[in-house]
Order: sequence, then C-alpha cells, then structure tokens
Amino acid sequence: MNTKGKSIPTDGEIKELMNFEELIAAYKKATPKTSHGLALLRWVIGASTVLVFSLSLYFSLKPNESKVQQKEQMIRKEPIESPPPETITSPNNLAKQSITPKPAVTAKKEKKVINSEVEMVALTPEYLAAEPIDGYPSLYSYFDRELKYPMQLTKDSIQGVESVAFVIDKNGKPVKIEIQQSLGAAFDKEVIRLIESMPPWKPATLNGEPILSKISIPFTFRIKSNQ
Amino acid sequence: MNEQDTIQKKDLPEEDILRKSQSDSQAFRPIYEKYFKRIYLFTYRKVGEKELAADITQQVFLKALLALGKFQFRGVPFSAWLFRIALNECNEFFRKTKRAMRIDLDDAIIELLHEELTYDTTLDDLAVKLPELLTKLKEEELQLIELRFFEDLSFKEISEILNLTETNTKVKTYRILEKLKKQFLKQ
Repeated sequence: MNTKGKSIPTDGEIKELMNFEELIAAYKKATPKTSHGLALLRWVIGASTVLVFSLSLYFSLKPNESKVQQKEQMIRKEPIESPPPETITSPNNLAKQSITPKPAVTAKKEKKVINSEVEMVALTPEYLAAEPIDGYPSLYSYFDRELKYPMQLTKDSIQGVESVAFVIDKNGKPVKIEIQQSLGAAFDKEVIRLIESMPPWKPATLNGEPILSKISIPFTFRIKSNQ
Repeated sequence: MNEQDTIQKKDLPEEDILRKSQSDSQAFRPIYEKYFKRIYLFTYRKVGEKELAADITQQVFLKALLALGKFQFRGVPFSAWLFRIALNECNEFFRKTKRAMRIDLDDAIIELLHEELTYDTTLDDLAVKLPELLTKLKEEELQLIELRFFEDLSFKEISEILNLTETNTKVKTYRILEKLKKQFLKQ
C-alpha cells in the first residue's frame, strides 16, 4: 500500500476531464433503442395477453360469485332473534380498553421522588458547597457566551448533552477534568477548554476548612436553524 | 440542449431531476456536473493516475445512469449511491490488475485526524507516523476512515455506502480511531 501522494488535480484539470456527451453516447450504446415497429408489436402482444388473462379470470370467478350469493341468501333466512356472534365488539369491551392504566409512567414518577429525598438528606449544616466567586448566573452566562459548536461536525447534525466532571481544589481551581458523557472528541475538547478557562471558584468548606469537591455540569449542544 | 434548459434543470430538486433522467438521459447533466469532482477525487486518491481516475469516474456515472430505475428515494443523498458504485469500481480495478492500493494524505486530512486522535502531541508527529498506522488497518477499517475523514461524508452517507446501520458506522469508526490512537501512543 502506497501512502505517498501526488499533487491533487486542480478544478480546471478536473473540468477538462468531464465529458457528458461521451457518457450519453456510452449510455445509448449500452441501451439500444427499439424500432417503432418492434415497439408497436410488443405493445400489441402485451395488451392482448392482458386482455386474455383478464377474460379468463372473469369467467373463472363467475361461478364462485353465484356460490357466495347463495350463501348470503342462506344466512338471511336464519331467524333474526338469534344472539349476535361474539366476534362483534360490544360497548363494554371498548370501555375496558380505554381505561387501561399505564403502569410505566407511575413507576417513573415514584423513582424521581425517592431520588430527591436522598439528595436532601445528604446535605449537612457544617458543609458549604463550592461555588463560583461571581455566582452561578455569571458562570452560566460565561458558558452561554463561550460554548461553540464544533463547526466541522455540523454535517452529522450531532445534538445532545455532554457531561463533564471536575474537582475544585482548595485554591478554587478546576483539576481532574474528566468527560462523563461524550458526544465525540471535538465536543470533549470544547468542553475541557471552557472548564479550564472559566472564572475562579470558592472552594467547598467543612467546618470552615477548604476541602476538595467534585462538580458535574451538563452541556447541551444544539444546532441553531437559519430560519 | 441550450444553456437555459440546463439552468432550469439545475434549479429542480435532485429527486425530480433523477426521476426525469430515468426517461430522458440528457436530464442527468446537472447531477453529472454536481458530483463529478467529488467522485473523481475519490477515485484519484485511490488509483493515483489522472486519466485512469477519469475513466473509472465515467464508468461510475454510466453504471449509475443505467441502473437509475433501481435507485430508491429514501432521503439519502444520491452522492452516497455514487460513492458506493465508485468504491466497487475501484475494488474491482485493484482485484483485476492486482495493483497496490494507495492512500493520498494531505495536510487537511492529517489535521482532521490529529484533532480526533490526540491533541497531546504535535501535528508533525502524527504526519510522520500516520502512513504506517493506516497501512496496518484492515480494508474495511481503512474504507471507513477514508470516507469519513478524506471524503468528509456524514455517518448517514457512509452507512448507506457500506450497507451498515448509522449507529454501527459510528461505533466502528470510533473503535478504529481508538485503535489508531493506542498504536500511535505506543510508538
């Protein structure tokens, strides 16, 4: 396998190599045109085959139709008082179908409630969480301003959430930056760039002493439409 | 056909032009003009000879035109179908002639792969090591890398060309990149 490249042909050279007329000539050669007489003959044969086939189909079906009519007449002679067959849907059946509960939705709601209870219990009064010195609204406006969609990936229309975790050290600086949920290398690079150059943080404290704390932030990448 | 006809056909949606081309081969001209360069460069990167690449490209368009009735409009660009034919034509050429396949690496490709593989090392490092790394890939793996990074195609188009699902194409591509990354860092 050879990996050494020659110079790529220029647009002008490529244009000179284009030859649509040659293509059409080759196409016509590959698909010879039938003469009008031959085409007419083929049409007549085709049409007559269809006619013969449909006539034979009509005559073969006719006796069956009369049998069906006889059967219908026999059914009509049955007493009207007979109860309706079970296959017909009764109004009761329909009502039962419409009030069937959806257990999956209820289960999901219950799970959410349990999670929020656990989060509340985990907080202790002596612990102060790490936070940006200028506050979260300022941090989020920094993210909004600075987060750029990797332009080379717009062709794939990748959209979604990328999640990053990092540790705020005792000096309020982000360390141990790691991607938890990735949308691809270019997105990882952009998110890491943003975290590395974000405004400083106040470290978390336990009884007034600064400690390390882990933070996790999701980033949503969306392609804006040009409307 | 006069110039006005060509312009009017260029303005039609691609699907309409292709439908018209099924009964009137002259209507195929805007499609030929639109995709010739991409298909030509794709074949040129593989065979490395200008005239030969032009012959293969012409053959690709002829086969596409002859089989236009079989093309299904499913929201996938026509280019994917052309690339599929081109890939088969190139493979057929190498099978018949028993010639060695070549990979054409330019700076833009190396830069793109550098971004995907690693940003811990310099671009020059990768430029030196990449040819050797690519030659170690299997044929199917190399095709994926070529279509994605050399031809700049979307995963949807690649999945259509290689007859894979879009998810499988993504998974395979990232696995190959991981493999390349490991080998690159090992060296």
